[in-house]
Amino acid sequence: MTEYLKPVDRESARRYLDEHRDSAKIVAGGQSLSLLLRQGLLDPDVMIDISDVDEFSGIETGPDRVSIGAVTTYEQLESHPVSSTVETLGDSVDVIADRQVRTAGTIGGAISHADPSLDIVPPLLCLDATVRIGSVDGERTVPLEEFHDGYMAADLAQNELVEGITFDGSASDWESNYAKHSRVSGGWATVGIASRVRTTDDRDAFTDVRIAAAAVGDTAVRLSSVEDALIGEPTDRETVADAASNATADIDPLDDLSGSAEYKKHLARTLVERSINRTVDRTGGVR
Amino acid sequence: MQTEDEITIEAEQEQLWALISDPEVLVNCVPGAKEVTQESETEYTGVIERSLAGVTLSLNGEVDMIEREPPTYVKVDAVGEDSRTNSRMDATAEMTIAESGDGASELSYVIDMEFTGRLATLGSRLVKRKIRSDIDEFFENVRDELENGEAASDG
Ligand SMILES: Cc1cc2nc3c(=O)[nH]c(=O)nc-3n(C[C@H](O)[C@H](O)[C@H](O)COP(=O)(O)OP(=O)(O)OC[C@H]3O[C@@H](n4cnc5c(N)ncnc54)[C@H](O)[C@@H]3O)c2cc1C
Repeated sequence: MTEYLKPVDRESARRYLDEHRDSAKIVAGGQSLSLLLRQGLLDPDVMIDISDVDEFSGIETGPDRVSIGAVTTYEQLESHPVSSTVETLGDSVDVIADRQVRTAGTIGGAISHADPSLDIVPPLLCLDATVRIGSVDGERTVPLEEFHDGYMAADLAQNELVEGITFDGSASDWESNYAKHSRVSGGWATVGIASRVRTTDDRDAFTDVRIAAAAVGDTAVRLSSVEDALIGEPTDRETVADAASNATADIDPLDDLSGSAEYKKHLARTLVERSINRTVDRTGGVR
Repeated sequence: MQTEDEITIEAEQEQLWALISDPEVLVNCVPGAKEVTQESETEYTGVIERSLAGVTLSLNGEVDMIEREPPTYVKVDAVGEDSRTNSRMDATAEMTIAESGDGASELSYVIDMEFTGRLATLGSRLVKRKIRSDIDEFFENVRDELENGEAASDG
């Protein structure tokens, strides 16, 4: 029989996990987990349901930090103002699966699951987000880019859990976007691209560019070859198209049900171009 | 599903051959391998422990070198079974080792794998990527063994 624990505060969540470690599974929204349980692939002795832990829930916005609790659902994020101020977040949540997954699925559950096809990760990479990790020993933080340290692998010890994610959301002069292609509407990404840029006041040239991609490698990745090709360059469509052709330098797709590796490379270039152009359009610039 | 690639390793054909036929070295190089025993000149048994999406597998396996032409070619049949999830893996691997000059060798491989049982329900998208990353890791480890072994004997 599986023992089901439901802590209501951070301290007991940390303590339960420390006591049970490898015999325990954390449950957040249960979306990914229930598939594995139903298929008989997982059979934990203890389940620790953290969805009622107050400290892990909700979104806090300070003067320059945005902090999203681990058990915040996609739906809560979608209806929070931060989804409009940081448009790449709103764009990505809008295209995740279906209503059920968005109502129950949590940001912390997604990040811990570490699937390279997750839509929420590229936007967070473009925000240089930091993961807050807790255990009975206290809290530590790791940049999201380092947190996913291999295929479906996260830098988490057995007695650690993801408690939230933090990023700088203050800079209002950034614009952003998330562009996704999937075989069926609401399906997993064949490729997903987030972009976030800052331009000169006259909107003629890029001053900062961040691009990240999902579903094209062992982990979601920043596309530094595209970023480097754009910083300081004009924002016209030709320059963007040229830079987008560099996208394949940073990715390593495999054939899968969502598309062949070659198709994914082609899509990555197309979506990088599209995403950056949409972002530039959002700056309101005349090109 | 099939995976193939070529890699260049800074070692002689013979050294590379000796390494991939040594069960002790294989334990060090195959990600998650434990308790590899050589049953005969061409047969090995062992356990490979892997985890994916929080699911832990313990594959009890047998490897049989069905064709051997030392030091250039080997064809291997492998099966692995995980009793907890009732899953089975069947694989055939072919490796060719060619001299590429300057004491280096080129190793090319073709690996064909199939999964049945509950593991298959995890979906090919997830499993395939995992296997590819394990195969890459295996050949990186082989390279490390040889190239660092050499570096150590130099110094
Ligand atoms: C049908 C379906 C379609 C989907 N389509 C998409 C899609 O199009 N795009 C997309 O991006 N995603 C998609 N998803 C994935 C979805 O984003 C994740 O399932 C969900 O966000 C995971 O969150 P959860 O709260 O449900 O996690 P759970 O299922 O509760 O947990 C997932 C894993 O993380 C662990 N875990 C959970 N929370 C924590 C924590 N705080 N600390 C440490 N470990 C933790 C659990 O133990 C478990 O191993 C889909 C999922 C399903 C089921």
